[in-house]
Order: sequence, then C-alpha cells, then structure tokens
Amino acid sequence: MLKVLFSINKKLLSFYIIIAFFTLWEVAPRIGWANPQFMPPLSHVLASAKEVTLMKILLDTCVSLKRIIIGFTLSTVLAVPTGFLLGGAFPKISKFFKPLLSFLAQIPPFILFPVFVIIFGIGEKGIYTVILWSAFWPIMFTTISGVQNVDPLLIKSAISMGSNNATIFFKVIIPAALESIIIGMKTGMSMAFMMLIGAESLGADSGLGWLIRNSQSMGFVPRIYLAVILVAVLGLAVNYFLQWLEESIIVWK
Amino acid sequence: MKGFIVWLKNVILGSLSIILFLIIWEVASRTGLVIKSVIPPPSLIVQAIIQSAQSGELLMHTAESLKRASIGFLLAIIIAIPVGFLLGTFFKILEKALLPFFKILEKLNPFAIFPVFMIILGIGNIEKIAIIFWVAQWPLLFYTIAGTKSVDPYLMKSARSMGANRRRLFLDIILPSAVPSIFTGIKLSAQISFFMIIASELIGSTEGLGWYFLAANQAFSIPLMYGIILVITILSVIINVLFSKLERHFLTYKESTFQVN
Repeated sequence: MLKVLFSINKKLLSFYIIIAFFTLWEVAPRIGWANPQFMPPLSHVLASAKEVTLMKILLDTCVSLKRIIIGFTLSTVLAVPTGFLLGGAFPKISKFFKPLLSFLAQIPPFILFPVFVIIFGIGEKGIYTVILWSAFWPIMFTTISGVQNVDPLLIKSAISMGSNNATIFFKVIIPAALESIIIGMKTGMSMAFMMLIGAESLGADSGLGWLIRNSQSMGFVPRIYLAVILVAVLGLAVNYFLQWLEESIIVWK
Repeated sequence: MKGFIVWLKNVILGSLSIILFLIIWEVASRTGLVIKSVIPPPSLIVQAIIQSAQSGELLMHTAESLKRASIGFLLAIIIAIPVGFLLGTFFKILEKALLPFFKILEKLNPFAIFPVFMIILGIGNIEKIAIIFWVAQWPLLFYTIAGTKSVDPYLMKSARSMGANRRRLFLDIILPSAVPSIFTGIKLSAQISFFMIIASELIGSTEGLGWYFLAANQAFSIPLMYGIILVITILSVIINVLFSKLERHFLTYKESTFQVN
C-alpha cells in the first residue's frame, strides 16, 4: 500500500511544482510579496477572460493557430522538396549555394519582418512570409543533410535487389531521411511560433501576439498575463502535435 | 604556400554564390526589375552603412546592444552553470521535480514574456539585462545538467573505490566530463542572447541596434534599414563562429556522444 503511494508520489512530483507555482502566483500579490499592480493574482488574470469575452479569446487563438498552421505547412511543402532536390539530385549546386543560403538563414527573421511589411504591405502577407521564412531554413537544411547521410549500404542493397529509382527514392531515401527532416520540422516550428507572436506584436490587428501588445498599451495588466498563458498553452499544444506526428510516422523506431 | 593557395581558392569559390547574388540584386534593383524604393541596390545600402558608421551612430548603438547582451549573458553564466551543477550532482530529486517545470518555462515564448518584463521593470538597461538573463540561462542550465549526467558511471565508481572524496570527485571527474556539454550550452546561450537583445530592442527601447532599425523604418530610410540588417547578421555570424570554435576546442578530448546540431 505504502509502495503504491510512493510510486504515485514520484510520478506527480513534477505536477506539485506547477501547482506550487500557481498557488504562489495567487498568493504573492495578495500578501504584498509582489506588486499587485504589476503582477495581479491568478484569479484576477483568469477573471479578466470574462472581460475580453470568450468569443474574442477564441477568435484570437484561432487566428494565431491558423497562421502558424498554414505558414508552417506551406514552409514544409516548399522546404522538403527543395532539400531533396539540392541534397540528392543536385549536390554540386547545393555545395555552390551553401554559403549564400547559410548566410540568408542566419538573418534573424523578426528583423526581416518590417522589410516584409514594406514589400508586401501591412496585413496577413507579411506575417505569413515571416513564418514561412523562419521555418524554411531549418527544414531545408536538415532535409539536405538527411538525404546526404542516408547509409550508402542501404542504397546499394536496394540496387542489388533490383529496385528502380522510384522505389529507391520512396522506400529507402525518404524513410532514412525522415528522422532528420522531423528534427528540422521541430526546430522550424519553434522558430516559426516565436516569430508568429513577435510579428503579431509588431504589426497585426488580431491574434494572440496582438492581444498581448494591445493589452500592454492600453494598460489592462491582467489581460497581458492571460494572453501569455494562452500563448504558452498554444505552444505546448503545437509541440505535442508535432511529437504525435513524429511518433505516428516513424513507427519503426 | 600551397596551403594558402588552396585556402584562397576555397574562399573565392565559397563566396562566388554570394557575389553572384549581390550582382543580380544590384542589376535587378537599378534596372527597375524590383521596385527601387522597396528593395534598394546593394551599393546604396553600403553607402548608408558607411554614412552611419562615419557619424558614429552605428558604433554607439552596436556597443549599447552588445554591452547589454554581454552583461545578461555573463550573469546567466555565473548563476546558471553552478545551479546546473548543484541540481545535476547533489540535488537529484529536486532536479527531477523541477526539470519539467523548467522545460515549460523555457518553451514560453520570449516575445510573449517581453511585455511582462516591461511592465515590471520598465524600459531600460535593467529590463534588457533581465530579459537576456532569462533567455540565456535555460540552455546553460539544461546543458550543464546534461553534462553532469553524462559522466561515465564506471569512472565514478573507480574513483570512489580508489578513495576519492567528494571534492576530488567533483573537480577531477564530474567537471571535466561535463565541460564539453557546458560549452555547447554556452554557444547556444550566446546566440540566443544576441538574438533576444535585438528583438527586445525592436519592441521597446530607446537605443541599441534594434531601436536604430525601428527608427530607420519609421524615417523610411530604407537603405539604412537593410544596412542594419546586414550589420546584425554579420555580428550574429561572428558570434556563431567564435563560440563554435570555442566549443570545438573543448569538445576535442571527448567523443561527442550526441549530435544536437
């Protein structure tokens, strides 16, 4: 009996800290440890949700979600084939362009956001371009390295068993490169998500990033924290989705 | 002499794509293929950078940004690495409890956290340093903990059986084994520090490269904008290369058992 309790205790350990954290958040401003003006207790933060109305919260969350999903999917659809082409079909071209591409990839995406706004105008296009840009580079580079690091032995055995090019591509190269690609997708997703909030803060009129910015400039302090919590939840959700995607695709691990 | 020629050849071949890209850009912008006011030719951009450098503005803002980032970064090193060691070696239960919580904190979007820092600490040097400290500490903490965990248990056991006391164990076994991982963390932390100082200055500041960029944006000095992007990218590349060299220097005596990059 005691053993069962202990094992449950061990598993819940991480949750204790989270509960302790939220309790602290509730208590500290009330007893004066933290200035309630700048750090309102948790209950106030959650109550402000009613002010903003559930509808608006859902709307902003959905807008942000839509932007990240469409932007990220578009980015993957562009980056993976490019990576395959550069890594597998035209390795010499890839080597030639590598310095240029590495340099472009190193430009911090949010510094490009105002440039994109100038080029594409204010509105959705700029945000989508930033998300696309941020996720494109990691995915493309990891695809290239994934393709180039396929064990040549696998390819040789496939050839010696008489497979044509298509079979080799679909049954050997893609699965072997998949692990690398998914790592790139995770990196790309975390970059894109960061940029999403940043871009929404700078130049959008809807979405969670905008909500944070708007609450800050209007001085509704509890709403800022509310939006921060929502962003955290969204981030975790998106992360779990990618994790689930990885586990359902790579079943042979 | 031959080595030098080979090196020179590699450098030229390598930069060929960049040079080609710049030439195409220059031509496209000047002939009107792309709108000149929206995407200015590289020659104008370089002109703007030189002007800005001559007036001393560029240097001042760059120094301001680097100063804030370095202080935050150093603070993070001083605090996060020892804490990482403590958590990884002596307080293992605490570490197991805190780690998932810390991971969630790390994943919290820094852009979302900026406003929180801004309302609590205002807009100034202290707030910027606090932000950099926050983002810089996570890679340091996690990689230090990972480093302490990566110690070969047989090494520990043989050292203990040879009578090493706790201090010896720490200084001679754990510390050297953890060093490569720690320097990977240092590299990542430096990169993210620079990244975040520019980002936070974009959102709320009165000086620094990020603010300078925003000011150029609002004044419609488009070539200057591109110029600042170039400066920021070059700085970021320099930091990358420097810390990668540092990391590789400490990674040499240990086979890296995990490839994170």
